[in-house]
Amino acid sequence: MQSTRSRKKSLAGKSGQTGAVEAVKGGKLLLFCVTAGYGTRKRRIVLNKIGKKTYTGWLAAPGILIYIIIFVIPTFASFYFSMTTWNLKTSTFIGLKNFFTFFTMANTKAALINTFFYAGATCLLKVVVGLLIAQYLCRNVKSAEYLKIILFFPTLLGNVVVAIAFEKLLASGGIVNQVIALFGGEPVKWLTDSATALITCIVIDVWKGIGTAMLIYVAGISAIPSTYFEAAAIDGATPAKQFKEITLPLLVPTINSVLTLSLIGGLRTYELVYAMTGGGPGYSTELLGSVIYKLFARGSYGLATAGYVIMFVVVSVIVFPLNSFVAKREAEL
Amino acid sequence: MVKKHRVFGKIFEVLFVGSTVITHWLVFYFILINSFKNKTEAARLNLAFPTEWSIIENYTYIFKYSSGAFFKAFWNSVVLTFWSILLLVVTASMAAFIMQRRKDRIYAASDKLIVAGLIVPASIIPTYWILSKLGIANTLFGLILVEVATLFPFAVMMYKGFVATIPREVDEAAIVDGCGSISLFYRIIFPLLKPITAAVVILRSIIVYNDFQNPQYYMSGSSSQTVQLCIYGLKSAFDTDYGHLFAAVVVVSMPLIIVYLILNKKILEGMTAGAVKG
Repeated sequence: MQSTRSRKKSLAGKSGQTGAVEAVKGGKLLLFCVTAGYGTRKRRIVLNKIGKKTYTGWLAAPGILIYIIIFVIPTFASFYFSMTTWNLKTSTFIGLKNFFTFFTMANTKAALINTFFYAGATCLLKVVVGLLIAQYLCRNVKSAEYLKIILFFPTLLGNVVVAIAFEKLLASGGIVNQVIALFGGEPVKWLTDSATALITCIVIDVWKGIGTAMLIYVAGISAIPSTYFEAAAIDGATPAKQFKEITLPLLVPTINSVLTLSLIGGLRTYELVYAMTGGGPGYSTELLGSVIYKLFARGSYGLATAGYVIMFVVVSVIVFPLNSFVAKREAEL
Repeated sequence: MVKKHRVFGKIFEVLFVGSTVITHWLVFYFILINSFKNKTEAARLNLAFPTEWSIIENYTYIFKYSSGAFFKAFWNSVVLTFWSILLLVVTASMAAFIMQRRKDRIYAASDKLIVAGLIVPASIIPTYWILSKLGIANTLFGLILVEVATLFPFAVMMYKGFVATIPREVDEAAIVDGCGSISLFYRIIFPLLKPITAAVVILRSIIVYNDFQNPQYYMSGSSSQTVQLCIYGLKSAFDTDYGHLFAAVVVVSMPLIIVYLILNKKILEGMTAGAVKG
């Protein structure tokens, strides 16, 4: 409400300098209003009409319509359909039964724990390792350009491509185990042992995604004026101290971006892991996303939608408060 | 003291650069060299040079496979990426412009919806249901709309941040010179948004081309596949035939890699243009 008022005010305020604009667009009425010294309220109404005509809603309509029809309405509809048995044509309301079924399914508990672990670990690694690499690259390293290009490279590869490559690399007779055997070690079942599978997936996910985090950090660090560091260096601050006292505090918004993006990604994703292991061995790499996909593939649409609603709640409950908490901290800084 | 520090720095740099040989180059080399091998040699999954190169055989086989299904999927992916990005750029930039300039209640509400859309996951089955109501389920057009809708929030946020830096005086001057709202946008504002448009095109093309989840859900009942779905199918179809499988992997990855090798500076810049504000 306040912003509406201030916008009107600013438009009205500008009418003095750019009187010609309103004269042309608003016609003689406006000119008359201004010259005859009519009340500012009337003038504002006329000006508002010009704004509405220039910034016509028709330009915004196509995008917002697509977004509402394809994204917003289905999101709200999912709350209803999660409480039905549904075959895409007819749905019968069954209350909260789907949610009970979902939580009593054999793989749900493992999937929830795995999802939290996966999201937490990939997010932490991207936030911390990405920052360390970016900080290193911003220190006049000769090979910085090369490292940026090569570390970003895996981002270009599709999830399935990465999955195929690593599945074969880490296969029981694959090159990694051949090297281990060469040194006389026991072959490791990277992706086929329930003790190591999820951790291997996490490392591969970080390998694929670290480039994006690194680039966001590099942009954030380069945006800090170099005079700060120069002044600190004159005062005798060591690089470590400069990092702690200058870079880190000024980088809070950037860290927040990386944190939120990778946390959301980690909670939602399943494609890479699913393409490598299919959720196995056992339920050791089952994620919330893959559980939902399997329910969909099986044709249990109502139950799968209930799974989606749970994912919706999990993501919202974690990310929205985190976001507003960090935003508050940012405001304090 | 200083010298010693420098020596350590150099050693660390050499180690870092050297380690990328193992963590990155070896992986790419492994994919590439195995795509040149015949079935028995590829099955060994090692890094050795093939004794018998079957480059041409492997790559032509991929394109001929099941009467050109792979090639068709490839084409579908290109079409999907092109139209999704075009539609996304046009709709998101216009919406962002209007939403930044107007602050009425409707726009404030859609603003909130769009911010929420950055965070919450897309609900897939109800979307499929709506697409089938509209008669475009299992079509490429339906998938294009889904891609646009999912990428819409982020693109709008990027554009809005940039539109805010364009002063309103620019709009006013254009109107004095006789621009209507559409020509104001397309002749004055849109050209100014070029850096963000470049960033959106680069960032989102990678995502749409590599998208696996949406095609998996929306196109699995369709005869037309995208390339990511196709290669996922090949993964089980060529279960023991790694030479052909890796040839397919190389072909799928090629378009983005070629673009990246040519435009890597632009792409790295584009990646970060909107991300910091995001």
